[in-house]
Amino acid sequence: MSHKKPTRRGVLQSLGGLGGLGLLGGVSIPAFALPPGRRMIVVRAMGGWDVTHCMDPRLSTSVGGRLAVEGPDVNEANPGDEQIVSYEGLDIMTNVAKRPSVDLFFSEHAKATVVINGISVGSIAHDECRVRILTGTRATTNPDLGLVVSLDGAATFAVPYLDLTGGAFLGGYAAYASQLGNNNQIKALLDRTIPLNGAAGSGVTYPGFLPNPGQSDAIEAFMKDRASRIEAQGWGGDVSAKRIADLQTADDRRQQLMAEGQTFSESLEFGRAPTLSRQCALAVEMLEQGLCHSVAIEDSSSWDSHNDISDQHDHFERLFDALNTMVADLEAADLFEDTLIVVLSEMTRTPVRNQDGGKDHWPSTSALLIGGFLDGARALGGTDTALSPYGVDLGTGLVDTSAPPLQYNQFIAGVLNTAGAQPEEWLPGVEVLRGIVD
Amino acid sequence: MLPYWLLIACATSQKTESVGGEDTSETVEASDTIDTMLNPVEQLVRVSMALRGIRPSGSDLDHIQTDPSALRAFAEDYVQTPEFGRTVRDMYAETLLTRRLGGALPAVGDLEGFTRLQREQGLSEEPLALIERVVMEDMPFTEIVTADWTVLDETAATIWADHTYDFDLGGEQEVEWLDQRPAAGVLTTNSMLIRWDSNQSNVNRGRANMVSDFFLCESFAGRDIPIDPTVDLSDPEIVADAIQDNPQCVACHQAMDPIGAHFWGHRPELTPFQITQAETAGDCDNLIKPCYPIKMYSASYEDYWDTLELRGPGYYGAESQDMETLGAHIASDPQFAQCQAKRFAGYLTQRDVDVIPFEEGVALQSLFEESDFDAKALAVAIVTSPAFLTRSAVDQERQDALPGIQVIRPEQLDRTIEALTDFQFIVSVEGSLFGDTPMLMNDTIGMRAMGGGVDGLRVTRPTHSPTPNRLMVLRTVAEEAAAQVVTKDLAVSSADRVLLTKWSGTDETAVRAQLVDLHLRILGESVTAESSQIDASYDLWLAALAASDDDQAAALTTVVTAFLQSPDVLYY
Repeated sequence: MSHKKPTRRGVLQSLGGLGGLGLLGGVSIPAFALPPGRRMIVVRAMGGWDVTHCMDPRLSTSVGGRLAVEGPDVNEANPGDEQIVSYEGLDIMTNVAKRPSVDLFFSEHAKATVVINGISVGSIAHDECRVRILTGTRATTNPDLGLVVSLDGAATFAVPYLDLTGGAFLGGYAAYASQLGNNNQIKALLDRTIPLNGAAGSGVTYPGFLPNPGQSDAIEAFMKDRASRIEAQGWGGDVSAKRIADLQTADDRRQQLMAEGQTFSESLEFGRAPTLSRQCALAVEMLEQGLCHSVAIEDSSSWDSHNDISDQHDHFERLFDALNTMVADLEAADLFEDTLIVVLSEMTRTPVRNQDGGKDHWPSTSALLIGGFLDGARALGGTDTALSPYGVDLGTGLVDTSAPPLQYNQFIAGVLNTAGAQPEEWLPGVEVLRGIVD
Repeated sequence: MLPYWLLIACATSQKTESVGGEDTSETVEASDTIDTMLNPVEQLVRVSMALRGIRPSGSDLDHIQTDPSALRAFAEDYVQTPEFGRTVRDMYAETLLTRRLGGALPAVGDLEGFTRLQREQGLSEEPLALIERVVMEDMPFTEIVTADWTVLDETAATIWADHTYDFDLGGEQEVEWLDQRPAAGVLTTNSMLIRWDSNQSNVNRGRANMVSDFFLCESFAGRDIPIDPTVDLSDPEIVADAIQDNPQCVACHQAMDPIGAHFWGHRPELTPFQITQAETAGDCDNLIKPCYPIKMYSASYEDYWDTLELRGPGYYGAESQDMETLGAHIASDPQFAQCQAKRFAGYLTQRDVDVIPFEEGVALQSLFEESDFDAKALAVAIVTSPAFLTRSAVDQERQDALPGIQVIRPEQLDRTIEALTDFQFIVSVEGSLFGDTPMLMNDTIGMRAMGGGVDGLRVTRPTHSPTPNRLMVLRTVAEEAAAQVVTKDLAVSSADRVLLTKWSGTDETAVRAQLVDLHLRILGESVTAESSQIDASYDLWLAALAASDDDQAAALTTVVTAFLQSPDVLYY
């Protein structure tokens, strides 16, 4: 985008001063009245995927008589089933017997896929790596990439960022996000007519009170009056200004969500957590309805294969089965050209197995970027024979062994740039990984 | 700039707000600062919410208006209440993350018939109950890492073996372990050992990081890990040598591994699948095949670090022998004092521990140490500090250090609503094993994380701002509580009512009198019946009555619903 944008800090400061207008008389000020960039779906495969099983393909090799990498062929009954296949020039590890959906995906969508290999995350602790690969920073108090992308044009959407994982990093922008709850508890919040029982033997049933339109109006008028009085109290400081301004933002979102969210609420089952496939379907539905701009979904199975690396077969199969369906749904909804799917895991696994036949944590990872607008069938970055990240020319994304390895923050900056957000606003001073779209 | 904490020792001239036509301002010694403090009622509400998670009673609110100097006395009373104990539990639930989504062991064997909620609580509350007991029984706070006892409820006592729990008494009990485990307070609670487990390749390093992060505010995991390609990771012996000799590895491992070495006597991990298999097969050996009650400690494994050729127990270069000496090291470490003091300040003032200024941390540490680790005194000092009671400051640097307006936590909302209305939002899912679930204290089917809390697994930090979900939770709870309390109160005489104690009819004077009381008790606002605030609330009543076809109960329910979800309840 070429137009000059206000800084987030500037908008927040102006919010603080204009908050009085925002909370009086029903006037709401859109915090980010900027054109939205590309939609985003963040697919999280948390626990640490073994990239040698897919996007950074390796068959088991020794270097100098020493085992360098154990690929997915190790300890397999039919190691010959593991094949490195070139899809329009993009090399991917496949096994049509154990991971047929991977082959199906790249056969159909390689040209819409860019692989990023050798992203250094600098840690082997799950929580640390998770925050780094999702926010591009070390702080859990910063928003993740899905939320950042949703903030442009946030006023347009009932819920700019829909977090189906429950574990998104919202930073100071929680007012722009909503979660389903681990077992779709949001259904009970959106649809208050759902009957529920109180404590056993209490005789209490819910709902006990459902305001009619007149009663609701009376309550809303009272709430606005009280909000304006709090605003007029003169709380000083950025913290208070933000928390008070967020009330209007959150309430606007709440009202929109309650008005527009009935359709998706109907597709949720209270008390039953959505599977990965169901999350994918929900994500497309919500984007299609214009309810949100970006969505975070997660494969809740643990990819953390310390005890048996062959678990990764099922994980990749399940993931790509869901991705195949999701891309098809996006295409059917005519959204694929304007949506960026980011598939990532917080780390990969050691190049060789441990004594239990599993693999432990490795401080780098790969990512998949999928979108109809991408000039795909390419891999940026890379790793050496021992899975250590290569240096990367950040101007092109291509391997440059004289350069430092690609860092997680540079990767996130590159994704934000690809999605049409302004990476310098969120990751100041971080050099952007180019070569994805520019 | 005066450090934030030194403000408690300084007299500043204070301009307080006038409310409802009543002048509640008072002046002390003049100085060159004119900060805007909260008025006495607002101060008491803030102190009560921070310490107890409930509003002050009507009589407390009346008292503070006539005697604003009683604030500290009230705070000292509030930390003696059970509600403060629950605040302490909630505080450390956010740190230790034992109230974890999905944290339940299978209902098989001796645990058959226990509900999901009971199993979750049995597995999560042990260290929190220990800390609560240390605080509420006025033990030095260092006891949380040195106690030779723990606290179990009946479910936990059924899960675990080798303790002195009396099943005839039931309830939560202080118990001792009978398996000769060296004691170190919460560090040797089974709940912590399961929450922070360790698989074979991790060799207790995760537990070591838990110790350093939670008790010393110094996380090993936050450091960068450079890859050394010369280390052959496929060879355990080479890896073991590297963590002893390779400078890149030694930097962390020389401190981390000796802490981890203390944990070897304890079971490294426990999975529901293991238990179900063992119970189903009836083939229990309590090692690989654990059945209830489960043994968690064996002295014969204490030196297993030696078998694996790892570093022996130590504490940042100091000698150590076992968990007991580890606990003693931590207790005497100045870092522990500062870290825990900052955790108290962070929780009670809704600030991240990392943003608490250095000077404040040092001041809190001194206060804590000089009081012999009196947690109640620390909490009182934090919430009665001028900085916590200041709405805005003239000096920009001091302004930036103010905690600012606070947002009600889901646990606080649960207690506030119950204290005001005698209603707790509990749901029972028919045909399920969940049991009676308090919706603001649970995440499996509850709404704690959706209301801004943590679920101990995916959501590990609270949200201190309004969100769409939080407002929906507040609305739902307000509607249900209002329905219950209005129905009950109108069925009894005013002396027996919980909330509508001033309700005497629909004439304007009577309604206004009731509204004045609701303003004080729910909104924390002392106003007169003729004030603009009561005018607005009376308008609410009239609109509600009209919208309810003159049904008094429905109109009252509407009014109470509005009050219970008011921004005055959301914020304090």
